[in-house]
Amino acid sequence: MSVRFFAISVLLFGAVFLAGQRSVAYEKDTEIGYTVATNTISAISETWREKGDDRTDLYCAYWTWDDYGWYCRTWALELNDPLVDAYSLSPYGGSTTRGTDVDTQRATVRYDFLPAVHGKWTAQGEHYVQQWVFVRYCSFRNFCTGWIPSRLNFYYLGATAAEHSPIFLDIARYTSVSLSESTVDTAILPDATELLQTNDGPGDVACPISFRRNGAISVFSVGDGRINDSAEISEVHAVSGRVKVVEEINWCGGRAAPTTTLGCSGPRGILVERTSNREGMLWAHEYGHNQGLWVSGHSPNPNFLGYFSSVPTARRVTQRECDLMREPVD
Amino acid sequence: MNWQSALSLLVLALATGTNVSAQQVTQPDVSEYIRGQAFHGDSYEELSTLYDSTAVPALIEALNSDAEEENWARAAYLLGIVGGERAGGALIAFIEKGDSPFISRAHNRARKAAMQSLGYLINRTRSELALDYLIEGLTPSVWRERNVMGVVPYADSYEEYDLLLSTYALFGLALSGHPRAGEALTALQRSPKPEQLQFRDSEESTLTQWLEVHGLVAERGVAGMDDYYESQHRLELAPRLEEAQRLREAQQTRP
Repeated sequence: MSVRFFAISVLLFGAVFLAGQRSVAYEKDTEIGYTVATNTISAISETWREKGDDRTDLYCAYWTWDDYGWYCRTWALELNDPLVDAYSLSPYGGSTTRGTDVDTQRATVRYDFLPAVHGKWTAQGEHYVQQWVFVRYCSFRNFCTGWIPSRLNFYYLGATAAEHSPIFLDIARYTSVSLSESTVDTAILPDATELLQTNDGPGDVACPISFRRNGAISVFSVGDGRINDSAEISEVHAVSGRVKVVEEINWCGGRAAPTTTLGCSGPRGILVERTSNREGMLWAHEYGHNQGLWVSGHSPNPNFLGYFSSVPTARRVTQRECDLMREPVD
Repeated sequence: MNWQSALSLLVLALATGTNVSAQQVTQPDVSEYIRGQAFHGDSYEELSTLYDSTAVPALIEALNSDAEEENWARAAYLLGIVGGERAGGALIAFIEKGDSPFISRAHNRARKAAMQSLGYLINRTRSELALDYLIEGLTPSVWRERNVMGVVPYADSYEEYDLLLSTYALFGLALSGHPRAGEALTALQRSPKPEQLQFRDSEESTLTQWLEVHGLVAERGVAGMDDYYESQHRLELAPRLEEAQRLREAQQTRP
């Protein structure tokens, strides 16, 4: 008797345990009592992808179950954008969780978000957009309701989508320069973005722009990677790309570049050397020059990005500087 | 002691005291400087005002410390601005330092800085040691004779790297403004030795441009060269700034 009871317990435990591990293709419908998902997110890509390309997926990040059976407690909208985290969406009124911790709870089933909805993105007021999805509820025993339209509300933290203006940069490197897309996407551009978006103190604004790589890093072989005179710098400035990474900058702005120069702004983009210190700040600073900032002289204040040196504190931008940096790229 | 002597002593004491006070004003921490990073390089004039020869030991120490590799370039740069003959020896030793086949970009940047810095040293002190070193460096094969080891990743061979080192020597000579440097650069341009021919041909436009730099430094000094470039920059900017001002005024008067 006790052995049988033990065996049944083990089987039940195993069933429950395994059930907790399985992936299921169900969503909970709103008739049971939830708005499917309402949460806040801080940024959203404006370039939604096409159906079937396995991008911009809506999936259930955390399944749980109650008396009515399985339901999705936490939705995640994965933008498949290297610079944007997957954001978790909690049931209405719930708390928000954000970030990569949902990866460990990810269900295997995904839905291309665009084809899952019947309609377009609509802006509802200033701070959120709303979209309809079809969901259905399935019980523990796999009894499912029909598909029921539900509404997903995506809220922005603070700024509207329009205010998060991604600036896409074409990046080129001289053939011998070592620069990976991963380094650009995970270090340089996020660092440049973060220092602009963060309000670091008096006089600073949280400038709502973000830098993104536009396509693959192109490779050029014009010249020898070293800018030694005006002819060479003109030659490289003519290469396509807003950011051009070279080996040495020894001539800049019509003059012999002071020793240890790392960046140079030109008529059609910026030239930079690789550096191990605050490379994102360097790119942001040169980009600022390229947008018309600090042309008659650097800022005398070491707390501002326009300062001549990349000291750790040189992170602030004024509203005017922010506005100029957000001007459309030619 | 009469009152005039006493007064003289008092004046002397005050002057000495004032002088001592001035000397007691400490220059900014050199290690803070060398660990910084300027986007467009540092101002020669500013550094020469902020620092003096008392910084030399710390700079040489930094050049001898592998832990400061990322900061070697700035240490080398400042050494030529504030140092004397000892600095020249240290810079040359640094240029020739290294025994591995490859050097990092940071190390190479520092070698370049050291050669340009020798130019600043020559400009300030007329150092014959530094001058001869750079003039001889215009012949690429000299670097083999000097057994300068280590090639930067973007040079495919020692031969190519020797050309690069000679280019750095060219920069240093231009920045020195020294008459002999000008003669050497002009000779390289017009009548190179056979062993300099490839170098001259590969850097023809650079040589022409940097001879102009030499002329500016010879005429105005290094700080004067910077001022000249700055004034040229402002002249180029003037129409744009005027236009920007005009637009601002037009916006303000718009109903």
